[in-house]
Amino acid sequence: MNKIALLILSSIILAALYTITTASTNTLYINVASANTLDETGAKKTTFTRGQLVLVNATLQFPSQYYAPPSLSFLYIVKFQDSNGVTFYYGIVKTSLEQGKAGSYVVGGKIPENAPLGTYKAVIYVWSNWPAYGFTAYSVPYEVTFTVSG
Amino acid sequence: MASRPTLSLTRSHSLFPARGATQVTQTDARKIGALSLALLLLLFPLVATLANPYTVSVSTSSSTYTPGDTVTVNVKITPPDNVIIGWELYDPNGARKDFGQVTCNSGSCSFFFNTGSSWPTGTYKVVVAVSGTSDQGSTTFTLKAAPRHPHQHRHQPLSTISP
Repeated sequence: MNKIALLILSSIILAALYTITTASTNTLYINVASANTLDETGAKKTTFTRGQLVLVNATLQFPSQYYAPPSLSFLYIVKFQDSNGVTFYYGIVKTSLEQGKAGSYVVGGKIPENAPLGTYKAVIYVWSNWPAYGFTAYSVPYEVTFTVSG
Repeated sequence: MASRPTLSLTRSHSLFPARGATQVTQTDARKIGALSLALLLLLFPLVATLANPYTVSVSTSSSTYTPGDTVTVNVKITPPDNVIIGWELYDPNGARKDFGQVTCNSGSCSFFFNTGSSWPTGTYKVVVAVSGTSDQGSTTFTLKAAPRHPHQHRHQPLSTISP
């Protein structure tokens, strides 16, 4: 009977391990609570001209979850796309957050002098690393738009 | 395997082997067998999950594009599963030109990106990785300068050519 008990216990442990392993590949631990564009002084702004600096500020939250690690180290990545949908710049911040905490992060990029006019997009990614090195996505991508006018 | 010695032990040590005792031993053996099978069934996906579970197949809708074109990338994950993927695009010089994140449902998804009109020509590489694993796949495509159309050449009008 001890063998049976041992087998049942092993099965339960393995089932729990499997659940945790499966959950960890798809669990997005971090929420992008809000994001907006700022000018170089830190004031909120959504319309820019060529050559100006655009800052993308986002507030990230790491809600308490019993199966999540106590602290997460990650890359806050912002990709800038012009009005043709072409990526022309990206910037990153390497940082970390503890469970139950929130943090604000800023990445800036300069609008090229020869940039097309129109509606631009900044996309925020929260990743453990770059995909080519083996990565885990920690949030759903978050988009903010801004205008580049003449 | 473990039940055989138990059965022979019961028979050899009992002068008058009780039927009930043998039946209980066989029931236990069946239980252990069933639980071992259940354990194996549980163990298999766990081991499969921990050790390289996904094959990532990546392809582009065409093998050649011109600067300014939109490239569509198709991804197939085997065995089919709902996963998050991350992708990166590297130019012929090894510089990262673009990247993104997509959710693949039932192991299948696609995404696209726009190439820039001033991007260098040559062989580009698309790397796709499954979030939370070390599993990845890649493909390449060629960015070629658009061929000049013969009508785009400036010809001197025949009337202006002096004999």
